[in-house]
Amino acid sequence: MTEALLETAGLADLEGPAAEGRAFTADELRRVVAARNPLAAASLADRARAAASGLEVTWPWTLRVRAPGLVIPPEDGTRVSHALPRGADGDSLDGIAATELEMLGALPADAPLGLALELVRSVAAARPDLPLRALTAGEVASLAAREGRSGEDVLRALRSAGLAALSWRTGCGGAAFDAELDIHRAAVACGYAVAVPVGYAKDGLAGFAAHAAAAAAIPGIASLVVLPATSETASPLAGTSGIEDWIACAVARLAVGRTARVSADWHVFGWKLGGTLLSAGADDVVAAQCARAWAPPTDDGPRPMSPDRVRAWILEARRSPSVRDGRFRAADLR
Amino acid sequence: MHDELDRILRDVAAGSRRLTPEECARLYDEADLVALGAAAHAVRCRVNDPAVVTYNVDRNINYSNICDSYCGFCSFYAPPGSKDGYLLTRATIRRKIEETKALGGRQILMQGGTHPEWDVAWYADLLRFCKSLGVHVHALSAPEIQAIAKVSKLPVRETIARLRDAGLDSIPGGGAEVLTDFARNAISPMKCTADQWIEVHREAHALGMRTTATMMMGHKERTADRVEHLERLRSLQDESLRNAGGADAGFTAFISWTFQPTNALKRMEPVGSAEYLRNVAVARLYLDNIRHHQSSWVTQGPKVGQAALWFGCDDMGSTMIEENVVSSAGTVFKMTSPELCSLIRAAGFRPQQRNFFYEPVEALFLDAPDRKLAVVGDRPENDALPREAFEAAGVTAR
Ligand code: SF4
Repeated sequence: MTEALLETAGLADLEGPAAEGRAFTADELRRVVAARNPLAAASLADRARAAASGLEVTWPWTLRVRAPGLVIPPEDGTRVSHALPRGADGDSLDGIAATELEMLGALPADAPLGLALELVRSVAAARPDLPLRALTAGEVASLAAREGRSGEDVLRALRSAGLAALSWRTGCGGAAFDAELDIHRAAVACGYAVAVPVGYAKDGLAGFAAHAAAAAAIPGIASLVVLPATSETASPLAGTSGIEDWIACAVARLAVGRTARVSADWHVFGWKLGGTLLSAGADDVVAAQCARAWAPPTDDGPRPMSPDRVRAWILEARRSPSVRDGRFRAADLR
Repeated sequence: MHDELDRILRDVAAGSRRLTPEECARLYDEADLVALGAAAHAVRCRVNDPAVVTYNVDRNINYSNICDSYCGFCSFYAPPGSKDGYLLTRATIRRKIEETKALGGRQILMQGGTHPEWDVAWYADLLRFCKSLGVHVHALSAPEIQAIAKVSKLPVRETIARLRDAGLDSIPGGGAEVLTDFARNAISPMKCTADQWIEVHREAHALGMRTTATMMMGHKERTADRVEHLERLRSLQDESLRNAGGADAGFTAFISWTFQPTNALKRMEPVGSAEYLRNVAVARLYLDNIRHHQSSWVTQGPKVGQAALWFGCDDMGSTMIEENVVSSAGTVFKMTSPELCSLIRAAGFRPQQRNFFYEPVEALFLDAPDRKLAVVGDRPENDALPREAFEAAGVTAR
């Protein structure tokens, strides 16, 4: 069925390279975008995904903390709803089952490196057993510029303080993409687990294809994170369409081929569309949050994404769930 | 994917044969989602204008929430005698219908619960009142009609005939859930049986009325239940078309949505949208005699609503000026008609407002006239897109 689809979409010649898991060139990615056919794009991406990771879909169980002094952008509302405060009273994070720690929020624009190091140190110390994901490549670039140091220098300092991986939020991987790529390159050299966010706005898939190819060309990245410019909750109409999201996810997969994972952050896509992206090339899901106050679902407010539901939705996509930690290593839930 | 499943999908997409129930079960359990979508989309493009996605502007009016069916998943109903029960006054219903007309709507969808005392005369009064206000009255689901027949001690066909004579234009498919006793016993054991749901629609079709078919999936049902549900709908539609001697008849459309865990069943986990899209695609392939399939953006959100347009749906449903039952279950998506048009365009199709019978009507955008240009805009470049896109799906555009 899908062979005929690719034939009429003018993409049949790309079926072989996709099935081998060969990374597509920027020109090939642009052809996939130009076909404007989410099913044809997903069909190619699904072949590449199968070559890359078979049926396995990885997912971290994330312990999110709100650190004092960091600004939570409105777009991060869904992330924060079940995050734990990490306040001056030193709430204990001990004993909470998780496989990675994420510090939510953005550094104030004029924050010195010292503040970033202190925050990273204090949050990492609360759960030294969990890899800490925090700060974006853009924030690291700004810190480096303010301090007059290289990005690599700043990354090494943060690594010593306990940072294991850089994070992302909507807006990343867009306008300042080249500067962010330099930081990601340096992060690979410094031993970080590197997930490169590549952003796109409504009607912006052609630019996304070029960015995805550039990101995929960095050797040693663990994942490419597909990141629409606005979350579904923030703007269902002004944001990207579900069709663009499918094509973007497929393009990301075809850009990396079999060399890295493709991560879909369900908080940004919306959980419902996020679940469908496992058929469009994604093989990593960022969604499950844990909290000490894990409560049964209520009728008000967004339902928390429980680990059980993440597992169930991966199985629904006819894939096999596998827990990873913040460094993309296989992990056990404790 | 298995060669055999692929061959089945190709045959069905080309319209050269029908799916068997056994093949349907295999597609549910084993088929690749993208391949299912490609086949379903090809069928949808063969039987409907591939460039167009239709939508309706109407209003849900829930005239009463009093109900003695006590479905485990329902957070809308109030038991008879409860202080939470309500019945809309004629003045309120009039205001809602006038507002609907002022917003460009030509139809109301009116449903309530199953009431232990209200008989056919009571409902006939209500319908006469609504019809006098000049709208298409799409009202009273099969469980309500069965309850009315029981209270009135009348056969189902006569009950429907009296309601039709009072102003009932068509019957919504609500209350079908999944049409097997196993599935119904699990979530709504006191509601009408699967046979009784089918009976209402069979009798309505026999009277020349049009109805819609629905499916609420993702609760306790098994694959076999879903297959049986589709088989029962397809068989009834075959029968209704046969009896109509070739005229358009029976179900106008199929609409599915996912179970929203609330009320007594709130601890159940909801199914995800991959499963929803799978169901949408399989239904399009199996129900080859029901021409229109609706996407459920109300329960799935705008983005999955758009994706479903590539998995066999040719209609974006309704703006749902007011919706109480699903929103009681925590669903919050709302849309004006310019916004719905914007979503359809962004998915690669040309929006077309329609009436209940899927006939095109002029879009007036009266529900948000100030937003027409801002939201719908003039995007001629998108008008060129669908034909290429559908050709790319392997079908002939016409
Ligand atoms: S779903 Fe309908 S029949 Fe069931 S309890 Fe609610 S109102 Fe009554």
